[in-house]
Amino acid sequence: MNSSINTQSTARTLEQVIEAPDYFAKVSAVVARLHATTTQAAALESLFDATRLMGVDASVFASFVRDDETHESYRFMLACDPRWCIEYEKIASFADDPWLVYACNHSEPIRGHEIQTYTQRQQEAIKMAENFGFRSSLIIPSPSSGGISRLGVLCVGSNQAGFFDGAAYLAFKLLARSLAMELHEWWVRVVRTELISQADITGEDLALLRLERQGHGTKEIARTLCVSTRAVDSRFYRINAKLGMPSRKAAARVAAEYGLI
Amino acid sequence: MKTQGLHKQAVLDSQTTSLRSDDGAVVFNLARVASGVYVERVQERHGDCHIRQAARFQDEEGFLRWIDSDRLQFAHPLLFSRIKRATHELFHQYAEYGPDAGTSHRSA
Repeated sequence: MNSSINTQSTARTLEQVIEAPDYFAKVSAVVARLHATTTQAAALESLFDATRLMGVDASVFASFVRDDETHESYRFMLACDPRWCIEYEKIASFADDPWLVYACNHSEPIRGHEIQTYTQRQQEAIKMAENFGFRSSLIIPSPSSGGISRLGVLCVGSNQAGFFDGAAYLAFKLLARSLAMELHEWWVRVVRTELISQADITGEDLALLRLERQGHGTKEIARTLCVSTRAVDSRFYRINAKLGMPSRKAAARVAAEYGLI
Repeated sequence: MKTQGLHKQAVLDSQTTSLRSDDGAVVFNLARVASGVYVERVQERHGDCHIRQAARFQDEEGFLRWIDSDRLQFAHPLLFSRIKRATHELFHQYAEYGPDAGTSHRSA
């Protein structure tokens, strides 16, 4: 099975890869491109380019949002054989994915073989990834202020066993980490933009949410904004409806998590 | 909460073809990009999980290998047949006129 998007990497070690002229500059230029990227198609193209230039065979950026107690959203950007994700959905529930579980609880990058697996399903998920360009892997969480209710993780892989085990690992890790963080920032920026435009949040709404987040009560907020307490309650009622949140506290938490306040 | 919907409505190119199942639980967004065809597969699963996969294909063979491995095709055969036709058209345009050839923006 051809699971590589990178035709040149198979015979080279990571040390040889990073010694290529302008290696860091070229990858960094692609990473920097994400800053101005507005569409997911363009962001995926950047991930493909970065994967190729980094000299690895596959990469996936996965993001996760716990929308509420009963609903979760996952997004996979696939710079690898995309059949991996179809197979992944078949055999694994996301809670059994050892890479995702690791990313939920840690911020440090880690090589795949350093992650302990405890169940058969976890082992199956790892074995299956090996068939799609992740024989050796590096998992790079990109933590956010949303804690485990919102996270991103970049997984890069090679068809070569032990590809990330050499002396060049530390330098590569820095580069991969910058890519993970930029991808995560891009994703949060997209969600934030949509949040503002679709929920029609105003500057006044943000001021109220900021005060709520600071722990102020209705009377204090009313005094600060020179309005009645009834007006404060009424405004929060509208904000909650706009954001689809059950309470002002929850609305302020979402606004903070997405960087609105 | 609204962020759920926001996560669903990721930013797409303006030149996107959207194809959805009758029940709306499965949506494919297709767009021609400079390096091939961009495909986004969106699935609402059991009402508790929303999964979005974004992939890019440089040739039709790779796309067909992927789409034929998807078990959703058995639940939505008509949708998958429309997806294959639409993607074939995009690859055909790409091969014939290059990435900047006439584009489409429609929903079905």
